[in-house]
Amino acid sequence: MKRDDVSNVHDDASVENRFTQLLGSLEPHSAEPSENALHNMRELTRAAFVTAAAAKNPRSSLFTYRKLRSVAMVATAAMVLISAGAILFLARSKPAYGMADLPRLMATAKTLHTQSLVFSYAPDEQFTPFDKATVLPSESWIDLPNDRQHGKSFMSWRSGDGARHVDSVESVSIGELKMDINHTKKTVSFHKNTLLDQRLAARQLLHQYLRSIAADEAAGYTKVGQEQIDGKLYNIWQRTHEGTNRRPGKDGKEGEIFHYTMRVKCWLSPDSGDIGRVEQWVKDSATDTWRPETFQIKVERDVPIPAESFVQKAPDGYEQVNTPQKPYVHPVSTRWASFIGDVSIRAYVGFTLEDGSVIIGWAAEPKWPEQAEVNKLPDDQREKRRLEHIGEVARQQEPLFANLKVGGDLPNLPAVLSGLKSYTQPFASGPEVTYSGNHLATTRYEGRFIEWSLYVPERAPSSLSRWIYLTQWRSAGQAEARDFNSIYADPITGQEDFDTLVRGSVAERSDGGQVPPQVTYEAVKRLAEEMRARHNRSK
Amino acid sequence: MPLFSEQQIAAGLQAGRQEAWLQLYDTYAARLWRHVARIGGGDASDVADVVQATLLAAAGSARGFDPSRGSLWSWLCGIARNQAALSKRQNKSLNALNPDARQDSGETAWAAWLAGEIDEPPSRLQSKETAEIVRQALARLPEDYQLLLLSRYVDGNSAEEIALAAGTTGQAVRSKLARARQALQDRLARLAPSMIAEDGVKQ
Repeated sequence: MKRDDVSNVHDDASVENRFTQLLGSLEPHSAEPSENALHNMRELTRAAFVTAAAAKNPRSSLFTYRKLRSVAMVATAAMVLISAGAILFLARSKPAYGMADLPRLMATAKTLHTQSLVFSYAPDEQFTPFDKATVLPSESWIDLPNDRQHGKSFMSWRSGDGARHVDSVESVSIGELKMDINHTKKTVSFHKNTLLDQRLAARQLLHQYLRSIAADEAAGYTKVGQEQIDGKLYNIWQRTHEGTNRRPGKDGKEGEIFHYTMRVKCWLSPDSGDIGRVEQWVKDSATDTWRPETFQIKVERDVPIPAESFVQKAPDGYEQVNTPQKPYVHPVSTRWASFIGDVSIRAYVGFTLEDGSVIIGWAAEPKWPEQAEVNKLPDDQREKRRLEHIGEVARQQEPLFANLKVGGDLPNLPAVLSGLKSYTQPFASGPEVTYSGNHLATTRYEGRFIEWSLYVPERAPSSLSRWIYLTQWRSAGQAEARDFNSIYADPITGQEDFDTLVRGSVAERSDGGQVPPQVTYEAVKRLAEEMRARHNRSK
Repeated sequence: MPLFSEQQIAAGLQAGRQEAWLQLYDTYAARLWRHVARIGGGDASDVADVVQATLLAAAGSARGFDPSRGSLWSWLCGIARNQAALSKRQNKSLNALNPDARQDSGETAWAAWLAGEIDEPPSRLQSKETAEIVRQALARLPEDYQLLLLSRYVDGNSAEEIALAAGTTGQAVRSKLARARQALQDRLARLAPSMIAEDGVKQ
C-alpha cells in the first residue's frame, strides 16, 4: 500500500490498531493523576482565580480565607501570575519615577487604599517546616486629613485547647470613634480612643506599608523588567537581601539563630509613581524554596474614596455589644503589654527620632489578682476599685521614682523595660542592634507612674529595622530577656512632629496635661548625643 | 446555584465567580492531567508542574475566556500545549531529541508500518525515545488533529462518540481522522530517520 493511499484506509482495522499501538506509547505511568496533587491544585487555582478576579475588579470582596496545602504551589502560582504578563526590557530615556521617589510620594499621600494577600503558615513559628499556608486577604483605606480608617483583615487566635482559629474582622474609624466587626462571630462593638492615638494608628499603617516594601532602601533595588497591568506600564524593581534572626525559644529562652533571604518586588509606574503591585518573598534556608509572604495587589494613593467606605453601621443580624453613644472608652492606647512572672508591664506609646534613638512611655506593676472579680462589678464600683488599686501601686512605687536623673538609670521597678533590640526579621538585613535605655521623664496618669525612657542604639541600625523593635526586659532574680512581640515606635521628623506627637502623647498621659520640661525636641536630641558618647567611652 | 453547562461556566468565569472556576476544575482537571502526560511526557512531577502552570495561567486569564473562539477544553489544551512547550524548552536534558536537528525528511519505519507496508513494528516502539518522538510529531500537528488522535487512539472513543461531543457526524470525524493520521505519519517521517537507521528497518 502506498502512503498516498492511506486516506482511503481509515476504516481498516489494522491501521486503526497500528495507530492505537503507536499512540499508546504515550501512556506513561504519570498519566493517572495524583489525587493529592489535584486537591492541592484545586485550592491553589481557586485562590489564583479569586486574586486575578479581584485585581480586575478592585471592589470585589476578597474576604474569604483559603488554605493552600502546598507552599511550593503557592510560590509557583505567583510566579506564573507574574510571568503571565509580557515582561519587556525596554530602555527609557526620559526622567521617570524610581524607588528613591517612593518615600516622598507616600509621605505626601493624603489617602491610601491597599488590597493584600497575606500568607500565614502553620505552625506559626517562622521558618519551621511548613506544609500549608493560609491566605488572608485584607483591605485598607486610610484618610489622613479626615482622621478616618477602614480595614478588613483576619485575626488569628488560639483557643484553650491549642487549636488555631482565624476570624474575619473589620473596623471603621471616624475621628475618635471606632467600630469593630467580627464577621466570624457576627458581633459589633464601638470604641472611643483619643484623636491623637487614632492619628498615630493611621500613621502606623502608612509607615508599616513603606517598611513592608523597604522603600527607604531604594539603593538596594534594581530594575529587572517592565510589565503592563491593566494597560498601564510599570517598571519592576527587585531587592534581595540576606538576614538573620533568632527563633523564639521555649519558656522565654532564646531559640536558635537562622538565616533567611528576603526578596521584595515592586511594580512602579515610571510616569506617575503609582504602585501596581508589591510582592514579598522569603527563601527558607532549610528547604531552599521561595515562599510568598505578602502580595499587595492594589495600592492607590489619593484616589476618590467610595462613600460607603466609612459607614459605622452594624450589619443586619449581628449582635451589637454596645452602641456608638455608649462606646468602650479607651483613655490612652497601649502598644505592647506582657506579663513577666507576677508583673504586668506595658508600653503605651513609642517614637523613633531622626538619629535612631527611641522614646517609649511604659509602666510596670504587680498583677492584680482581684481584677477578674472586680470586672464583674457594676461600672461605677469597678472604676472606683480600679483607681484605688492604681493608687495603692503608685504609693508603693513612689520611692523608686523619687531620685531619678535625666539620662540616669531607669526606675528599679519589679520589671524594667531595660532596652530594645532591632527587629531584624523579616525585613532588615545586618546584625541585631541593641538599644540601651536611660531615664528621660516621669508623668502620672490616673495616678499611675509612667516612665518615659530614651533608648539609644549601640551603632547605626539598618534603616529597614527602624520603627519596630523587640523589647528587652529584666526583673528581679532573672537575667535580661526579651519579648518576641514587637513594638512600633512612630518615626518623628522635625520639631513640629515632635511637638504634636511626642509632647502631645506625653500630655495625654499626664494627669494635669503637663509635659516635663526636658521633653523638647532639642533637649532630647542633646540627651541622645550625650548617651551615645557615654556608651562609646565605656566600650 | 450550581453551574452545569459550558455556557454557564463560561459566563461565571467572566463574572469572576469562583464556583465557576471550581466547576471547570472539577470537570477538566483530571482529564487535563492525562492529556498533559501524553503530550508532554516526563515523570509525574514534570506532569504536575505543567498541569499546575496550565491551570494557574487559566485561572489568571479565565475572566477573559471567549466561548466564540472554542470550547473550554480546547482553550485549556491550548494553554497546556504552550506550557508543555515552555517546560520542554526549559529542560535542557531533552535537547538530545531536538527536532530541529532532525530536519532531513524521508521514509521511516513508522510511516511504513502505519501505512501497512511492513508487518512488524519498529523494535523501539515501546521505548521512551519513541514516545518522545511521537509527542514531538503530535506537537507539530494542528491542535484539533492532536486532540482527535488522542481521543480516538488513546482514550478509545469511537468516531460516533467523538462526533456526538463535537456536534458533527461520524463520517466527518472519520475523514478528519484520516487527514490527522496522514499528518502524523508525515511528521514522524521527518523526525526519526536516524533512529530508523539504527534499527535497521529503513526501507
